[in-house]
Amino acid sequence: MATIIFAAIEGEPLERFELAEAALVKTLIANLAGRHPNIAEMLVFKEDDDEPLAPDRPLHGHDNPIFHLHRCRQIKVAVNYKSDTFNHKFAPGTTIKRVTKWATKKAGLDEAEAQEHVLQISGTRIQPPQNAHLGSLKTDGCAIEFDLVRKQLVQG
Amino acid sequence: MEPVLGADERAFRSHVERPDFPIGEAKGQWRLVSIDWPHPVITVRAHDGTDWAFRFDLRGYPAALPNARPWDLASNAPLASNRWPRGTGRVAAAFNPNWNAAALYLPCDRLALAGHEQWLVQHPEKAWSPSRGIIHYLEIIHDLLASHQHLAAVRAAA
Repeated sequence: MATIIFAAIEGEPLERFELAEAALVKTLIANLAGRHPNIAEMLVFKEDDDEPLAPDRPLHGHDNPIFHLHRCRQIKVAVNYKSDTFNHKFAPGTTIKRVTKWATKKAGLDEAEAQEHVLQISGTRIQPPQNAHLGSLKTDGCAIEFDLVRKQLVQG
Repeated sequence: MEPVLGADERAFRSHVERPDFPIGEAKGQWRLVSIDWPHPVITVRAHDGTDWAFRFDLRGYPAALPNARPWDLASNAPLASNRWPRGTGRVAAAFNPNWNAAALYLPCDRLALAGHEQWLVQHPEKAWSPSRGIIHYLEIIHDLLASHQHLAAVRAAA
């Protein structure tokens, strides 16, 4: 039985991989050899996990088989909200949904207000999707800055 | 002999095979019900667990903007206006059958954008993106229905 996973390499789109049942993290890296100049330096993260997976860790048996390969062990996140800036380090496989949840909590927003706010990459109008991984965004080294902004009403 | 698919249908089918679509399905955010080109039906889950169906018009996809309207799966007909998703703020604005019962009031909807081109400047994050495709429209609907500005349905919609 094949092991089916989804994985993204840094800013590239997620891809579906069909691997042998016994495939390990290092199997995935080996399969991707030649695809990326820095593949040997990549760490493999399961979505929303804080720590990279060990090379001998099996890839099968994950409920949510979504992975991210990245050279950064952590991405330094700064979120601006009004006059405050919140800082935290997240793994590259962290979803925007999780970062948003952290940021709205730091901002002291209740659940209803939190849902009316979204992360926008500073200096842009780009609001990454909730399912996107931090590591998929264009980072400055291993850092990225967001503004926590209110979702706008479409009218007029 | 299999029918020849048009370029728009082929593009749509390739987009729903990209990982972001089945991942959204696995996370319970949306589900492809049927394709029946050019009118696929896709359900989107609200925060109360209700699956709302939307029938799309995707002629010319992905270059042409899509159009979507709430759909009644049981009768395979447009959802009656009094059964549309209800809510306040952003939700009430987007789901407004009194404006047009054949579209959602969103910058990514073909019928809604006509006459509202200023939205492309005001709401670039909601403008249609052919490269992202249908997932972009679905993310916007899901964000609205997942919001507490969406009032829970009295009964299941789909």
